[in-house]
Amino acid sequence: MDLKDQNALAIGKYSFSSRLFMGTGKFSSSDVMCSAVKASGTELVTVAVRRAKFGGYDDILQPLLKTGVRLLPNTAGSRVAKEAVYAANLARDALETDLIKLEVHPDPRYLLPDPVETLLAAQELVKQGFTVMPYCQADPVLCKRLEEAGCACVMPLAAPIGTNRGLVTRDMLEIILDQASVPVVVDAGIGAPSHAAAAMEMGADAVLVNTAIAVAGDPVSMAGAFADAVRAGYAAGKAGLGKSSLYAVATSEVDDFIAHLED
Amino acid sequence: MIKVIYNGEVRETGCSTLLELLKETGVVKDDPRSLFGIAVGVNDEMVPKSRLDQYILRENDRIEIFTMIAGG
Repeated sequence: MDLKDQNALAIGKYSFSSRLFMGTGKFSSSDVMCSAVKASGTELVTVAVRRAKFGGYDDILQPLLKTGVRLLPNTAGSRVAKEAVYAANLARDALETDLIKLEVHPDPRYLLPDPVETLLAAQELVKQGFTVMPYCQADPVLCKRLEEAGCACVMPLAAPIGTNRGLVTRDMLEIILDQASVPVVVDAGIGAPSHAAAAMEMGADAVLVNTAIAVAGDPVSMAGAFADAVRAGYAAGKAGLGKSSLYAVATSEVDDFIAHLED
Repeated sequence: MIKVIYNGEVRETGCSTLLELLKETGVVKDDPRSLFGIAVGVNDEMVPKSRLDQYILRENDRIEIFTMIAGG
């Protein structure tokens, strides 16, 4: 990427031109996934660590790497900090990257991240030299604690994973954005390009989208639509939105025109 | 021969190191790049791929092979 890019996003020692990060789950095939990745313009995509099933697994890494993206392994499936730290170490050895999306969610019904275990795991992973990107509750206090622990960004949820419900946590996200000194990546629950644009207008540094693209009628077109929305939302946020008002505010001075007719 | 637990299944092996076992099971092939995307754990501890040849197998070791899959 262009080093002079004023709009680049820095997360730890990494830099990204695209502010749309993508998940790779739930796509109907590797081909569709890779085409969507290309259409999204993303530079960072998530993958997960699992026990190998021999003879039946689809190698997604080689086609993904051909698209030129950087891989962000996650610790999904971990229920406690210890498991997340183990998963992170496996991922670092497998992919030769210190990037880790920390996810600790013990409850399969809502997949909400455990704040206590997430913080404990973040502290340990920072100590072990990882660039930690924690998926977390949209809790402003927790986000500050994760930042103090040395995380490279925070990734508060908009709504539970895969629900497509949009910015359910909007009010808390506003406080997080107001307080944060590390990048804020809004993750999970973003269901439409308009949700992504709204998050970026509010000042989010990036969004991570998976389900909304993967399960769309046409995932490749949807990936392009998200790319446009993220760019538009980011530009709008930087430009500074006008103030909202209860009463109408005329865009031209009608008084002079009326006065002229009465002459 | 010793008995190890390999990806959840009991396996008898004459291999002495972890690297030999991974060759025996076809995980490690001649191309060193074949290990990209794979990680190895023994008894819930990650064994770096650079040290697979130094790890001496012991009776009842639980060996697990991990790969990367699609995810969000």
